[in-house]
Amino acid sequence: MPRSLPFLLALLFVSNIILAQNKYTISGYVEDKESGEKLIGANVYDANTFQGTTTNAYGFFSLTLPEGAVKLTASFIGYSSIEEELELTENISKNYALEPKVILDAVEITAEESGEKIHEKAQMSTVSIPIQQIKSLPAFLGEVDIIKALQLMPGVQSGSEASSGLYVRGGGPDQNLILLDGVPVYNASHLFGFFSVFNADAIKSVELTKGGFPARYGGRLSSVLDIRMKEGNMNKFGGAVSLGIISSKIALEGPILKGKTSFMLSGRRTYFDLLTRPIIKAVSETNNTVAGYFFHDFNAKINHKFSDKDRLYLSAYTGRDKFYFKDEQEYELANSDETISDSYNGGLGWGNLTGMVRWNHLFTPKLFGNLTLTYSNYDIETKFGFREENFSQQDGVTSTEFQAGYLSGIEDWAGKIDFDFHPNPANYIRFGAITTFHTFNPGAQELKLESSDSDFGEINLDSTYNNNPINAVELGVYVEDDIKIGSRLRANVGLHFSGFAVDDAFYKSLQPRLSARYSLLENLSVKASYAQMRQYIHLLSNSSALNLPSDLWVPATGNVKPQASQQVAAGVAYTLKDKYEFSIEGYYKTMDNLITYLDGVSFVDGSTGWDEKIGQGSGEAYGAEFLVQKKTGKTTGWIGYTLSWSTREFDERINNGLPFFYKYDRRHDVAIALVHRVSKRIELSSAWVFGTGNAVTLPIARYGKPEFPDRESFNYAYNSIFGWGDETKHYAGRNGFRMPNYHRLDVSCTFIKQKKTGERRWNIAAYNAYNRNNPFFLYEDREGEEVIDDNGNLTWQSKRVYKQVSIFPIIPSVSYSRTF
Amino acid sequence: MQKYSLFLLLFCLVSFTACEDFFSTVVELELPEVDEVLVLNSIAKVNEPIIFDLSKAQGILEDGETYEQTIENGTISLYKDGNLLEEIKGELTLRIDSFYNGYQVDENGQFILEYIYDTTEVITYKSNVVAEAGATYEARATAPNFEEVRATTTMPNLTMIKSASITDTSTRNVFYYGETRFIDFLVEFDDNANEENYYFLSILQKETFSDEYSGFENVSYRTYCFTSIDPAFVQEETGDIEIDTSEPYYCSNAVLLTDGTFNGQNKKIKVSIEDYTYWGGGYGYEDNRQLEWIVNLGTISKDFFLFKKSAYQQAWVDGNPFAEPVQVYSNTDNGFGVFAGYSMQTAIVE
Repeated sequence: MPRSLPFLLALLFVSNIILAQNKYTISGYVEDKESGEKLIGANVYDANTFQGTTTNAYGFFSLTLPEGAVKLTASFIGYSSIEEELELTENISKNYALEPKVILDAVEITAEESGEKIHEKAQMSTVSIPIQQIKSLPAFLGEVDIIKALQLMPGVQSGSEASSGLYVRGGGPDQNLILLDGVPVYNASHLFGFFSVFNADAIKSVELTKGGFPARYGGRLSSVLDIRMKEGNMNKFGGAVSLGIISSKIALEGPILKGKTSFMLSGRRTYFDLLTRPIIKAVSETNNTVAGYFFHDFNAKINHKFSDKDRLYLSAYTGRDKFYFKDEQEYELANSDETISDSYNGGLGWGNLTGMVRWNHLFTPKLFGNLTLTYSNYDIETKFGFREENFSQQDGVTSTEFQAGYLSGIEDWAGKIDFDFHPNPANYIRFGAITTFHTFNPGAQELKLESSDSDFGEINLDSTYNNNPINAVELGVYVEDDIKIGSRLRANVGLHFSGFAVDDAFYKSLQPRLSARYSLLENLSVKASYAQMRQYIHLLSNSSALNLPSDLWVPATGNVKPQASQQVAAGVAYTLKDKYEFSIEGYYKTMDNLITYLDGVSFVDGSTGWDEKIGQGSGEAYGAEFLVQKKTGKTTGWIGYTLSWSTREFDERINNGLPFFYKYDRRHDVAIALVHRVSKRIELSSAWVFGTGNAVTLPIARYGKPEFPDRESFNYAYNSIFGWGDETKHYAGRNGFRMPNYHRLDVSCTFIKQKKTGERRWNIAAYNAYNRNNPFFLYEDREGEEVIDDNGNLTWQSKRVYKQVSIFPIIPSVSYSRTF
Repeated sequence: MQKYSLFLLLFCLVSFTACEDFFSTVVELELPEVDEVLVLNSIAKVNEPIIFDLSKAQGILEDGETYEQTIENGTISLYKDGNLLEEIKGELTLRIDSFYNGYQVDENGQFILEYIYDTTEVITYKSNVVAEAGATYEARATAPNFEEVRATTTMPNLTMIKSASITDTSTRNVFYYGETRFIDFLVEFDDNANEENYYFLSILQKETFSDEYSGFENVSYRTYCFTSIDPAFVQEETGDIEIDTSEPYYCSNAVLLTDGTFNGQNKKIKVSIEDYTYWGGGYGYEDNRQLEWIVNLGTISKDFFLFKKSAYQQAWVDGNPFAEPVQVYSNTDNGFGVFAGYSMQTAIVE
């Protein structure tokens, strides 16, 4: 980084502030008239001075204008605008309650509703999909999924089949800062990544930033996914119920004190386990087996308005996945009076718990502040055990019990203070600080042994092994300014400083950020950005196709350095006839100190510590993203295409030190999403995706192993020396091979009926509508058949083949939802 | 009602098509072409003639087994210090794959108990050159229609076992098995200074059993896992976590050591084994058997070490979807295979 850059950025702040004088400020909130829900990103614009601003994450705006007549317009997508003429002679406070348009009355979405155009935004590399549009897209098994919707945008990729992990611009799933109401969520997946943890009924807004990161964000390399929960209706009670094939959900909201305090609650649970439990029990050998899987999640939020200057928010999320099994049997030993009762049990569970308390305070019309305390916990536990009880006349009751468990997790306590300062229309300054106390528990084993059986030896052991939590403190300080320079140039410049104290080590980093837009024409602009990022935590993942919850969150330590990246991006944005938006962005990103497992290491190997099983290296990602989006008319949607490369390079212990493609390197990635409103009552949607096959490691040749001169006398040891089998496999390097391409079409039809209160929706959808056998993973196998040889004998002939496992055929679904 | 019936029919139809043979299918993949290359393999033992195997590599999906790929008409030229020692041609030999004892009919029509060997006819390239400790050899192999391949290795120096003894025998209760005997061994040797040395250590139990009817002496070997806290061990295998063991547990019969922590020093290694025979008696022939412990200390070349480690790891993780695959070490230029050496010292512990 050039040494003069921080100085220039500081100069830019100051010079703009000095220029702003003798003006008055209009400040306030923009909210939904019906629910009182604050609107994020609403426009507030003065037609006389051509100055404007947008509301922040809490619906607050501040616009400083010259004294005199003001013609103010407040607008937001999907709402009727409010225009107001004022005479500005002093600082004033104004709140605007926008009325939602009843979308069903209008088959077409008109241009005025589409909000800020892509060429107008200073921030580049952002993806924002309205929740209503996400709900219109085809859903997997009827479950609307925010993350899967984002995967349809260029630069954002899914991992493997049905995965709800995010792979942004060649980065890993750990490099995404996923914030739910500002609280980091460490594992955003249910059912190994097939569903995300976010219940769309509880979500108000979603924004993903892929590059050109504003300075207020830090701690991850590749993206920031900012999800805001609904605040709850301030004026009336309402809700939504949804019934699907595998799950159902409910969301309720309403006032506690009308106009003052509101609440929002939502819950979801799958019931596949309840449906299959009787079947499993009936077909099991003992008729006593209980096994199943479920997940649930629950969101809650309370919002209290003390005054126009002070608000308090409380929110919480909890979600958990659980696999479980239990089997019991009792039998009598033959020729004995002994009765034995055996029981086996086991399970795998993982989940997040987050909580947040936030206080909003308006210090002055120009200065808005936030104090936030957050808690986030992610844990995974596996358990297995058995218990045996013996009863005999001679010995009475004796028992033996064995329980083993594995625990891993991460816990954060954080305090954060943020300020929004609006000195003048040309500057929007944000600054703040955050401190996070992390506790990492990369993995502990629990063991319990109890035996009162004298034959086995009496034992009473209850211990925990490798329980070595690592404590760390992460600090962050930032300042950024959204600057307007003339009518054509708009830039967001900032600095983010972060530090991380762990063990005896302290890492620090100063990260400059810059994102700028220059308008070439009224509807055409060019954009560019630069961002340095630092990440002090790593996710140690296995090479499986699944996003296993057993992936370990581990910190940078004295031996394991923090991850770092630099990204530059440039692009063009163009809006045609207010209907079509075109954007092209190119990016180049370097990543340092990435971690991966060494060759031959298995994550289930518990014999060594995690930091002894990894290597650190670098990564490189570059590509181009193309997006054509139609936001108005009967038919809306987009076509996205990404051409990209992503590679990794480690020391000689991994792939002999040679660079290799990242597992999710995807040369071509195409997504077409369409929503067509046939009438007021019928809506059709479809999504088609195509992606180059994932990079995998497969052998391409084989050859014999050497003989061992002592094999005759040491035959028993041969396998121990050279491993089993007579052949050696030769791989074309790590990830040197491509799986077949992936493509899939999802379709959906929704029947909508307006009711006296709310609406009713029946949705019929098909995932993988043309039943494509998409690759999940490949494996070597032998396929054979019985043939009659030349001598007339029946023989078995086999040949080696690669087999592909595909997990999802066409999956139809139907769901019902009702709002009230 | 009619429209709902239509949806029901549609639902059943798509559900039906979503069945059978979907989850796993054979796929045609565009595999990279594999050149026809030679595979040169030899694990030479110090003070014994050097023997090579010469074969060719196959594509992963090609028919046939690797042991069927022997090259019969190849030539291996063996060099030492740049001087040609010998040109070796392939010859037919019998390889003993395994042996067991069983009754055979002798020339008098009587059943006798003796070892029965399973053998395979193989082509090997047997040199007259006896491997010398510390010497560097180069092998160059050619065959019609194949490009020449070359491999070089240095034979390890011999390391003598200074002493091997049992230092302690104790019994304690082990969960599920009850009372079990544990035996502590101490193995002592001098490491050669100023060079990287690699060792493997194994502890075996030799059991000689005399059949009281036939008089046949059956010899068998029993392998033992052991525990040790000696930091010299390279724990490349997965260590089974034993519930009653607080020390690292090595279940390979030839555990590797490096001299990184004791270069040029006198080294004493303490290991502890759990004596299976203590509770495994009761078969009724204890009186006819003799037991002795064998401690093997091998000194291996770096090539042997790298090959052994990677070959074992590859086999260990093969088919494990949660592990990163391993490329096996090869020091054969222009081809595949390993040319390496070792020496072995054996001590009998009564």
